[in-house]
Amino acid sequence: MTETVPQRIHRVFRDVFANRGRRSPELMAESPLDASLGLESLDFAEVVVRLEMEFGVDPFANGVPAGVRRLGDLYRLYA
Amino acid sequence: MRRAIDWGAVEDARPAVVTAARTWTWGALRALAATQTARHADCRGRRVGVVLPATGAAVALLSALDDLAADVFLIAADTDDGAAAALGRALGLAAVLRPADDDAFAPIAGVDGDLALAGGGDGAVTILTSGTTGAPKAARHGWATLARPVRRGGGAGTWLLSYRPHLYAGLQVLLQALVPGGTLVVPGRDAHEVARLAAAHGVQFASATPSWWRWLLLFAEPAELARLELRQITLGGEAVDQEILDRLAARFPGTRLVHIYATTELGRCFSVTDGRAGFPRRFLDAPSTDGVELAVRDGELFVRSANAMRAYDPRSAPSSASPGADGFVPTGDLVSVAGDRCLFIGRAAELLNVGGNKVQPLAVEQVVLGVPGVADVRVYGKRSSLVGQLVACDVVLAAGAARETALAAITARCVERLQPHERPRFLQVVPRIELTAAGKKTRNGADPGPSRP
Repeated sequence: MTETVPQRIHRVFRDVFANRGRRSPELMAESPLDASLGLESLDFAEVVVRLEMEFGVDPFANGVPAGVRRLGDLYRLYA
Repeated sequence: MRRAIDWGAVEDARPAVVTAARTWTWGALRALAATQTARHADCRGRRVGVVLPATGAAVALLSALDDLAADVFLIAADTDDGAAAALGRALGLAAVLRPADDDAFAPIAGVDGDLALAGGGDGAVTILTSGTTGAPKAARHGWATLARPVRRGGGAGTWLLSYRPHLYAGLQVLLQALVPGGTLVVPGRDAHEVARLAAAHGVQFASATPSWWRWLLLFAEPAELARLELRQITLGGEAVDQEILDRLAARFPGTRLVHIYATTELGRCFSVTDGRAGFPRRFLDAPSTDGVELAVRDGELFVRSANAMRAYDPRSAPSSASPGADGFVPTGDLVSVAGDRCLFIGRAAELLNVGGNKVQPLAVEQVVLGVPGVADVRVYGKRSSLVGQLVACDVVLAAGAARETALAAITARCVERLQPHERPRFLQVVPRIELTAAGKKTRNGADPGPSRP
């Protein structure tokens, strides 16, 4: 069964947590993309590079797109 | 070239240039040089490009062109005709010669031949540097200054050519082998063949980058390397770290270890023979016997040298590293002074910018190289739209090293030794580190950004 876009995004987040030696928190569309998720700024930069490797596009190429606050906001960016 | 070599002193039967495929003796070189002087008489005093393989025929051609007082422009052997012709037109060359059948060289069509633009008539040689950064530059030398660092005492030796012959380091080895009437051994690109050919022809001197030595130690069989009877190993072209010096000392006990500092523009600056990384601080105090002065300014090494090139060719891209009013040239190499030693800490152009923090790839590489099971490493920047760059790291594992164990050990060591922004976020195992034509690692600007797996 092929992964959905949200599943692929969640996998990338889990990889980045794993690379930091940390357990990933539960990931939901409502999860805020700020420090409360446990990701520092360089971690989030890594997520964006890995999402580009995963999807072949970088919606952050010209800065953070407007309205990106929660994990679910990423789903449409990479859809 | 012709004038630098003492042709009369060498026996005809002695090998001059040896490849896996064949051998050119000194007698053959003499005959070829005479033939080519006659054949290319129309190049006299002209600007002439040469697509230069590492062969006896190419050495003979360089000698012939020197005899003809041509200005020679050296072009990489793997350059195709179209690119070589374009280079010829851009530089206003009268002709570009490339290897043809039977040790001959023939002009490439499409170089219109700017005969109005005569050479200097003094046998200059121009190295077209690809460089690890920036546009190609044309560094203009004279054969006499290129040959100045050649040591003529100690007789004619047998040298291994690991470098491409059209670049500064390759020309140095070529001249060091041939000016005293010795032998140049040119291996292919397979580590086993390098070891076999060098042993079969009794190579005594081998000069290469630290990255090349690391590659040879990793891929050649220890039994093959044990057959080498090297008198001297020379390292250059990149910062030489203690780790590779120690590995070579362990593998080749009794072999003299020398590391040299030279650049295409400045020529050979100094050499270090005490088996330690960096160079003695006292080198900063007084000029060397061959007229090289060193200074450290704002952490960067500056050099004023009598071996420097004459100029950049006026029709090529200008240098960014022009000498200041006092004649000292910035090298782009960053140096830290600690006690009685100056240590290389990396290249200014290789600095990564991670969210506004500077990261020196060489420093990260040194940490990773210290992990058991790691044979080689390359640290470079991966483009990040949010923070500029993130640190990426390719590692080559030693034979028998367990992948997961090694990766976990690398991560642990980096957490222990490095700041968070310095730690590699992209870590992958690769079969080998690809090197540039000059045998160097690329650390910055090498990764165009993320690509799909």
